Amino acid sequence: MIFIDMLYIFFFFIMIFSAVLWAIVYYKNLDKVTNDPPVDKIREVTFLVPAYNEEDCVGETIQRLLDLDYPEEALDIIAINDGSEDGTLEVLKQFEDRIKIIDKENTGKADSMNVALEEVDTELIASMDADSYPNEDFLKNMMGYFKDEEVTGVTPALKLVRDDNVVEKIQWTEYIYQIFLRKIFSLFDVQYVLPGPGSIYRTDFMKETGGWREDTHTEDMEVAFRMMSKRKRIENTTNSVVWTDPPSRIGDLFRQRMRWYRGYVENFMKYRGMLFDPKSGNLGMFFLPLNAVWIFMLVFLLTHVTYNILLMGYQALRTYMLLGYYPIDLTITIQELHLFHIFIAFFFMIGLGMIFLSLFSAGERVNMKERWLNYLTFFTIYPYMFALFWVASFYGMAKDRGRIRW
Amino acid sequence: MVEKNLNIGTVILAVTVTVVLMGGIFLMGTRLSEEKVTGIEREITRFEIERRSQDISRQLAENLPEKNCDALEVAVEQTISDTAVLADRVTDYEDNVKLGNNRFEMLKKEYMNVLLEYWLLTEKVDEMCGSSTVRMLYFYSDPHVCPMCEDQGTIITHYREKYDDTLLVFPLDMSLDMRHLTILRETYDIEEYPVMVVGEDVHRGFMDMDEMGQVLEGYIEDVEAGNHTSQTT
Repeated sequence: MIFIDMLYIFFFFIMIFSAVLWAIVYYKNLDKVTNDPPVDKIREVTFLVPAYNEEDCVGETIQRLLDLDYPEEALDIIAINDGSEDGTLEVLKQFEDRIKIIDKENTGKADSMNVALEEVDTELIASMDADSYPNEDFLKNMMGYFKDEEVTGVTPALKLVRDDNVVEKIQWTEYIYQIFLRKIFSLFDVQYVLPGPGSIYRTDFMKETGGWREDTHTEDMEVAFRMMSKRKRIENTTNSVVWTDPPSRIGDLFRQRMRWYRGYVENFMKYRGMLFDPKSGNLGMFFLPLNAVWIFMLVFLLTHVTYNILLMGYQALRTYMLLGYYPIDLTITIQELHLFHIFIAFFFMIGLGMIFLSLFSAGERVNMKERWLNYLTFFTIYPYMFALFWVASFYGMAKDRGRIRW
Repeated sequence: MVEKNLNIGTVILAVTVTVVLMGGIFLMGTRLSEEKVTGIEREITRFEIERRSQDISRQLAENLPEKNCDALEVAVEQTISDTAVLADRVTDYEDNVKLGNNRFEMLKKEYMNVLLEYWLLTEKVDEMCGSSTVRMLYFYSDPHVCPMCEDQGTIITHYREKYDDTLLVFPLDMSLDMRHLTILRETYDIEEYPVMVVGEDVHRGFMDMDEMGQVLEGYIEDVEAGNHTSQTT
């Protein structure tokens, strides 16, 4: 067996190990996957809604927050107009008798959140992106987790408001898959991101540790890393759903992912002290090293698959140049099958199993008739795209350091 | 600050299950590899039986008062396609090896033996009845020694399919350590690959489509015109 085959076998091991690990965690915590702890008391919560040029959607977001099934006296909303150049402020002013509005110069999301944080006097803070909105029972499913004093953050399930084109369809399945993964990560105590739409934080923790950091591409991820480094817990519920607006064009998706992945690397480096530190729990000992291997693996696979596709193209061209035609042979004999084909068949089954578990966790039904393209693109295009985004992020980091954008 | 829990037990269990699953997959891979080698083995056995039958037919024809060359030629033609199928199977196997199989190394040598025996048999049939086929000995080696052998193989396969009932190709892997291959190497004074022996002509180095086409056409025309002369010496 040559070196490259050995490397593939190692990668196959990592893939199977990851799937098995998540399956075991899932199985061991079956009762917790869809059940949240009961609400012990009504906790006061303030929603922070930063908005920059969001006139089309911020109105609906505010209205949905006002419509939440939660005692009005325990719910505050602060909307921050971060120097928008459109009609965002005018839309917000329609709600000024029911919410607090902060109008400031454009300084970025993290600073906007920090400005608002100074005004918060409730036990909890919830962030809500202006292009997202929650289900009516959103808060009730999350509050029970805060009975545990060590819990400083709770994340919801994110779903897309639409899946009309291919770019959105790929993300639709990804988000459903993420609902499953995020729950598993919380059960294994390795959640490393508190998504902007709908995460809830303990106010004391945020104030004591300096709020949202402005020197990172992903301030929500930084907060999660910070919580984990201080041995706090981040929980997740699959029952509280936040609907969010996905990038509809590949360019927008590309920019979003560049920001996320660069943010991940920044925070990974910033908190690298957690690596292999038993005091950091599963995150430092197992998850971060495993994730690093996964990223390397995906980048390698992307490169190697691309190389092989190009090589096949070159060989086909070479055969054409030699013969003046290309002989097409569609028959497959047993002699052409080998060990890796068995692995691929196995991964396909694992993938299907993961999708079914994800759909179950997300409360979605298997709808092959309407969603077949969502699943197909997720299995075919998504891994390639995912790896490509990582390559682009690494390239971007090497080329352009330190610029923080929305 | 509270200590974080380490789920070492869960991780160890996951590693154990992964090892078991990997083991199962490797076992299936080994089984598949065995099945592939067994398939080739069956083909070689069948081919060997065919060759022996032809040899017996030849001996009978030689010893009987009237030679039945037509029957012998039909048998040779049937074996041409068997040779091609076997060659394809061996090539497909070699192109898709992930788990080595010791039996295959032996089978490959057996395959070379059978090929050479068949080549010698066709020589004898030619001497007795005149030539009904064009035979090509194709000497190749692995890509490190012979980077052009893959392209040469593609061209030879093209002509083998084009002249499917006339052209007999004997691909000989010279990277194998076999005494009779060494004898052939010395006989034809082979130092570099690829080398093709067609009739009395020894062609050294890569031949493109046109060159090979011209060489083969002459021989094919002779055979089709019934100009039965011995092809290789």
